[in-house]
Amino acid sequence: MAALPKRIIKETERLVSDPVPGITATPSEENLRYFEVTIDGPSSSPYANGVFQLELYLPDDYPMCAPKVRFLTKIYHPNIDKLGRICLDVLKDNWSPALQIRTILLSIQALLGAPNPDDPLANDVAEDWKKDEKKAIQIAQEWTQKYAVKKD
Amino acid sequence: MSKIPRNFKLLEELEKGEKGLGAESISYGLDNQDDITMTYWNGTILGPPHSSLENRIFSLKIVCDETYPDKPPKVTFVTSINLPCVDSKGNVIVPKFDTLKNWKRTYSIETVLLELRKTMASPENKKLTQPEEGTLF
Repeated sequence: MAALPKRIIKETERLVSDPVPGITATPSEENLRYFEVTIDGPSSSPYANGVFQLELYLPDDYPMCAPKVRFLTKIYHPNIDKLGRICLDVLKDNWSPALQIRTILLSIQALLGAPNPDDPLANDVAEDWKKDEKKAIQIAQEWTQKYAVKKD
Repeated sequence: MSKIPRNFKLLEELEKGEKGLGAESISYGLDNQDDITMTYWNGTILGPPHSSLENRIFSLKIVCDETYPDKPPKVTFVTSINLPCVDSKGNVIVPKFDTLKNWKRTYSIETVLLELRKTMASPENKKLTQPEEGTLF
């Protein structure tokens, strides 16, 4: 494998030495461009108390193109589809090399706190959300309990 | 080139398949849209012209287990077909199909389907007697 760019090494070091509260990102031993990620659901959201697992990959073109990120934990959210794919502007057109892994993960955490049913990826969820927000929030809470809360 | 992890490779393949960006003579997608592991896929191949399979549509099942893409997927015809590289249950026989036998990490589900279609159209196979159209294994 080609040597890991300095930028990625630096970002990885900082993620470990100065972690973001509520977020972990651990590079895989076999592939230093591939990270296991966890994001805590924001406390004021239907995802509170949930710990969501994600995976992140830095493609060869990184940082000229955005990291690839996907939820592995099932989540009921209008901007995240059944396969865990995320609809977020900074992962697509609004990516800039000035952003980093940590800013992307913070943006995803913020997306959990502010679902945007007007720019949906999971169309059925977005429709439910617009029709009956209270009920949608309740389902999101139920899914969080079912799939994202660690049981002892 | 770094090694793209399984899930992100399959996500790329899925996007290409969903958007129909690939060849027109084949198609593929997830068998179940909820399958977060992206293991079970289905595919179709349009029988190649000037062969005994012309205009027929062949359905296949493709299984990409956790060893994919380091190891090739398991490929099975659902629609009956008579080909030297397909056994009596529809399974594509790895040693008899070069794409699976000499598998490379850069290959994809699309590669498999296109290469199968080429095999169907090859001079030694294109005139083979085929089961009645529409029968299943």
